Amino acid sequence: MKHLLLIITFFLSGLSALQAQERDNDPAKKEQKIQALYIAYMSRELKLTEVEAQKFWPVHSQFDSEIRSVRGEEELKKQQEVLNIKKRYQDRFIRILGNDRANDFYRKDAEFRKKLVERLKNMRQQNSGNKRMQMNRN
Amino acid sequence: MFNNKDILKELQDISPALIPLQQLNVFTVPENYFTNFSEIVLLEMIAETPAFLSSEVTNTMEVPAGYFDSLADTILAKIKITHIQSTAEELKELSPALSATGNDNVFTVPSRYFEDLSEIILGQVKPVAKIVEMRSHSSFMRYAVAAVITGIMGLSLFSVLDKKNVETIENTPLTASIINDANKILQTNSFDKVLETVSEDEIIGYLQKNGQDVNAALVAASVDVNELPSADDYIINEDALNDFLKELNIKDYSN
Repeated sequence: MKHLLLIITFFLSGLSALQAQERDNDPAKKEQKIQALYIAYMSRELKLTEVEAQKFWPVHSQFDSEIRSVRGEEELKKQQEVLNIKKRYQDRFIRILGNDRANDFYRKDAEFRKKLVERLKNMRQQNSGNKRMQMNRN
Repeated sequence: MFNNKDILKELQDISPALIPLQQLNVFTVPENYFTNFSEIVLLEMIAETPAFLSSEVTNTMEVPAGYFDSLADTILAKIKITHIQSTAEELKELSPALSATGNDNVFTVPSRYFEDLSEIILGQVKPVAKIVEMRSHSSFMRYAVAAVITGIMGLSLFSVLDKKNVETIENTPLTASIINDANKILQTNSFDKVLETVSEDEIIGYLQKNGQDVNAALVAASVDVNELPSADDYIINEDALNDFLKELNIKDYSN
């Protein structure tokens, strides 16, 4: 009986450790930070009011979900499908944001990604520089 | 027989002394030799007999008169006296304690001795260890416990694995915590600060989820289009793009 309890204890502690690790490596958790950054950036750039934000983000969430679900081997087909989704949502964005800001939305969305890419580039260049320095020292 | 020359010759070789005795009877005795032979022998025997034998023979097997009448009683009386004395003495020498007991009955115990004996002994003996009774578990209980444990393990693993699978397919829903974080970033104007805390993996994961080719985006962000390798460069060296990326320091060297 004692052995059995010991085994169960080990198993549960291992499981909790695994779950803790899962939480740390949780992709959803990781993405939350970038999502928050995205909302903050778009809200600031599109100058969303509270009322507009309440209408815009639920629609955007649906839009985002559809865009992400686009999968396939052929790049052109994928791009065509993405374009179709954007066209479908265009009217709804215009109704919430107006013509100008609805057009701005795609531009600002691209800018945000560009900032992420810039950040990634800087990190890699920094890592690469550090590695080279280490190699030179060695 | 003796006339045989060969035999004579052989006899001469073996024993020359026997030759003169041939045909002579050597087994003869003087006349009347056996007539007085016994007397002569007896006389010579007497002459050679020791003095104690030569004296007059007396009857040595004689016993006093009435000797056998009281012999048995005499022997028994002597044995009795000797035996009793020796046993008592011997016992005294070997075990004075036993000798002291005499004829007393030593095999006596106090009254009710054996009736209380077991209780007395158990009272004096200290318990060696605590006796724990084994509870007998029914086989049904064992199977039930095993089933419950297996179920817990299975469900736990299933929940972990299933959660992982779902997360890889579904998108991150817009939750209140995300909106709160976004509000904080806006209020504190800390976009750049928070961006600096985002890891490489997080950025790559996000961009890939949004259908972006990360390497292409990095190249696009890093170079002027005019500085890209020309079409001829690719023909000359198929690693032209990799070399170019190395120069830009944007390729992931950690892989």
